[in-house]
Amino acid sequence: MIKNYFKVALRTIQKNPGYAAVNIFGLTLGISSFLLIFLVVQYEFSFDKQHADWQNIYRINNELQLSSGNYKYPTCTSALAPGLQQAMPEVYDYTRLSGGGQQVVIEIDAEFFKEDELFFADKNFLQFFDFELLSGNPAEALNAPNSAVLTERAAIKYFGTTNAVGKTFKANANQVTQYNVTAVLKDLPESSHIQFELLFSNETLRVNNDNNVLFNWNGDGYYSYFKLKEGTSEARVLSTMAELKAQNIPEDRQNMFNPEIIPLADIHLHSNLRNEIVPNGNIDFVYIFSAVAIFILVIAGINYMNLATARSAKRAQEVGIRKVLGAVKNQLMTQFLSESIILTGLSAVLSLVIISTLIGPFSGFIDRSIGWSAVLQAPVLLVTLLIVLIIGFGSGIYPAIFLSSFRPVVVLKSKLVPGMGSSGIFRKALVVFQFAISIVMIIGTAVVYDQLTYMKNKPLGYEKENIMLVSNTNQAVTPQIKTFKTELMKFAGIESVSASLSKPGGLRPIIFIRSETVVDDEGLNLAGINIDLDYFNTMNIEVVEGRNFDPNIPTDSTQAIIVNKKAVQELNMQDGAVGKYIDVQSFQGNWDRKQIIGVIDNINFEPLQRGTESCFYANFFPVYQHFYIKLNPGMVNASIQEVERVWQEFAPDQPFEYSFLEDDLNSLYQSEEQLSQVVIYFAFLAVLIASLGLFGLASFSTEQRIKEIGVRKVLGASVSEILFILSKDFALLVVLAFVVAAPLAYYLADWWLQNFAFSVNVSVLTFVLSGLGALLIALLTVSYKTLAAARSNPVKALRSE
Amino acid sequence: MIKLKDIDKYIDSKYQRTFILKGIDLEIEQGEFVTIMGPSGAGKSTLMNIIGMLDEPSQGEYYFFDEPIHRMKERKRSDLHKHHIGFVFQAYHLIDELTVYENIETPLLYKGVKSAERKSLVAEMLDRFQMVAKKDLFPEQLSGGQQQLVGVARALIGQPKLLLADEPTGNLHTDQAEEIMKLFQKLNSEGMTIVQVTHSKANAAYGKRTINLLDGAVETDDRH
Ligand SMILES: Nc1ncnc2c1ncn2[C@@H]1O[C@H](COP(=O)(O)OP(=O)(O)O)[C@@H](O)[C@H]1O
Ligand SMILES: [Mg+2]
Repeated sequence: MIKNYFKVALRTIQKNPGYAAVNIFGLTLGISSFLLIFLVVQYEFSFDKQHADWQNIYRINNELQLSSGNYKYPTCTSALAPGLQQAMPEVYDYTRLSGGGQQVVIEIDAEFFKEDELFFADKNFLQFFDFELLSGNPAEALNAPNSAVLTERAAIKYFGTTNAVGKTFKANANQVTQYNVTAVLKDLPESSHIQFELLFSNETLRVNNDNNVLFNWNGDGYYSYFKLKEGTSEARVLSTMAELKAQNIPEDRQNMFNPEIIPLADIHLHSNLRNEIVPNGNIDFVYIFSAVAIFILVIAGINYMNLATARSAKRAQEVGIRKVLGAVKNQLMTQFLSESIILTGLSAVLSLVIISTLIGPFSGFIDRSIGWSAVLQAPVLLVTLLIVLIIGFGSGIYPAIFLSSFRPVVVLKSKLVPGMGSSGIFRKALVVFQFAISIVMIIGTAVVYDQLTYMKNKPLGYEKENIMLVSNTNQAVTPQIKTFKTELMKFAGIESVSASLSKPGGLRPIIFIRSETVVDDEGLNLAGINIDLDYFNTMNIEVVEGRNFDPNIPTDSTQAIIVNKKAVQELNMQDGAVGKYIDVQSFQGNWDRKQIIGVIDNINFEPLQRGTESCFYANFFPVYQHFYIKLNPGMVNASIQEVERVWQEFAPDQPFEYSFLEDDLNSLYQSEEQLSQVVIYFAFLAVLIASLGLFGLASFSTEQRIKEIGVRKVLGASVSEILFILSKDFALLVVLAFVVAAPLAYYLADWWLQNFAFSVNVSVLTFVLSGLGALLIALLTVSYKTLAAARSNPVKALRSE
Repeated sequence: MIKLKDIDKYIDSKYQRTFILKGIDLEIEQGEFVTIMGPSGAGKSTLMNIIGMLDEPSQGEYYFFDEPIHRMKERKRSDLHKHHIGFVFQAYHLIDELTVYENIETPLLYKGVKSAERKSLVAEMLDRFQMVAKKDLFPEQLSGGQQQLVGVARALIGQPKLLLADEPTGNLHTDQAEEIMKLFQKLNSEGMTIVQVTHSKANAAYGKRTINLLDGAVETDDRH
């Protein structure tokens, strides 16, 4: 019997190729989209779970609570993790990484390599985490000072072979030292928040610096991980850390020491701090993606349900006949269900083939690397099976019940099918639902796109076009900065040269200050941006009060500072900041007196997700990470060559690296950009699938009304009048869908825009245009059928009865 | 075989009751060949459907081989229907998606007949109706007469005791109709009980008894 159900189902598909094609196409689009997103979401949740003990591992974060706000970092003092273990035996292991973010130059046989993905790691790091080793002993590799562990990729880059254990190289980490390669790791899995190419042993620091460096309650910068015995509450860890704070942190640093913990597996999606090892994922994106996936699948499922029911006029006859031939309701339901399961199954198989080829490019597009092999794993296959069952049953059951309940006497006697007029409320509700989802997605896309455009084009208060950034690797040019700049300025294509420690959107230090104008100036601080005196000229930043830095005034490079308006407010200097003095704490801890010589607007140094900070600019000390070179837009290529030539001349043994400020800034919004692209694609798919369903419905309903159309035409109705009559109902559905979708879309857009300190207003126009867009798409879709019907020869339509 | 006692069929609307059949008393013995005639709307099809257990009377008693159908549960009734009754329609009502072979086979599937037995039964039927060459064609590829032959074959495949045919030749040319009627006559001579509805006196002549229905009631009942 089962065999027969399948045969009949396949036969039905064969005999109605158009119907089957619309269904399989829609379902395949829906299932493929869902599975693609499922793979990505699954991947996002797989982060950091390759370690056997992942459920017991935590990282310590630390929050600085400053007058200007709270800043949370993923690092803490070196003493906290070992201190915690001593204080609390349930913390049964810990390991730390330090020295992140620095750049070293590696020398091997007079060949130089720049490396900035490196850490110093504790002895037990390779045992604490389960990163796979190619060679070397995980228990010993990091025991001795000057040990180095390479990834496969780094080993091949430096030595041309993964057989690097026992080889040596020189590196200028801290000071130029010889390092011994003690182990080679397999390249780290991409689904790890810890990423590096090179590890040095923390023991190196102990030997080079004093012994205390690895157990110090001051300072910061240690990514600290610990393992907690199962069943121990996180609250106990926190209270122990509070005790440690009371015992070890002096009164004046209490606000700098507010540790928290986060489970290892939560880091990738829930932690998005400054100084993360690599940019993490974002749980909001996962939510958005998941919602999109489910939406599309639901739309596709509804399509099937709708088309199947719409077709029941024809199927009703068959039901009647089969009942006369002895079929009972269950048998008919089974028949219709097997039909929908076969259709869904076919679509699912097609989808698996499609996503196998698409997952590579798609995941690459959102900066993940998921291979096609992930498709043939148990989770995906199980989910696919589940989808087939859910869509197969879910959308098959309604038509099945509907169809199998026809009474044979009724359906066989007349062509009229009960409840099958164009008034099927349930089907209309489904179409409204589909279009509501589509409209939400269209509006969502528009809002994301608006915000992105806004962020890219918002005037930042400084020039970002044609500014070339050159890395001052290892401060190579710093001692000769004057002559370096002079040499560059000789070239016609170079308009201005400056230098800074920081870069917009990047990191900047927080500097403690004191001021007589602030009553309680304990812990008062500003973001301090170290620049050279040509910075404002090069960046075209206007000094709105007072004056710009002047290289001819000697004190300008020692005690002049320029603040932004927000800082003026924070310093209570609304009555005029220019000329006033503040004390600034140097890195050595001394208080230096500085005079404010100018005020600038609140330019956005930080990415626009964050607000503008109060900050000051000064030439504190001669340390610069980047040169800012303003180029003549007409001579960009020649200028790049010239800069490189001069660089080689001044720093022949340092790599030449540059970028453009505009690109760097845009890359800050990369994840938003990716999100918008992905949402655009899927919104398009959703609309396509929904339209497909509408198309199918339009063809059935116009077929049903063909006689009415004939009569109307005979009575003198014009083509456009008929078109109006036929389209009106569909238009009404879309309008209804819009009414449902608009509030939901508004709510979602508002929720998402809260991630940004600077955001667009959700405009009515966006909504209206999205609604009209959906309406237009719907009308165009049905017009193919309605036009044909309206143009048809009435005599023919009437004669056919 | 069939005993109808005071059968009514009516439809209740808000304020009035419309009778389709009223006070039908009818007995049909095994081996009879009965023709029901009457103007359109007289209630012929309704009566056929009640006899064929596709429809229930509103009132009255129906005994099939002395079993009280009017007191049976739907399930039991549809079982009886499935095993004892074959239906032939004016509009053939073949399933478009199925071949001739599969159309004929379908009732056996619902009866739960095993595959091997199905094969031989269908083969035998095809042979008897000389349709072996057409077994893989779809209904749309056949003429009306051929389609109705398939319809009859399908009605007979379950070896019913009773063949009900509602205007089986209504859509056919006279020579095709004659062929079907001759077939019915032959079946009847082999022992099959047949009830047919027709408008044609010529067709009625093949039967042995003619019942005239008017406004839902039996007007005449002649044996010939
Ligand atoms: N389900 C029904 N609802 C309303 N009227 C019906 C129904 N079935 C039959 N009728 C009416 O009952 C009468 C008899 O129908 P039918 O038995 O098909 O007549 P016949 O087959 O003799 O032409 C007709 O007037 C028909 O309109
Ligand atoms: Mg009739």
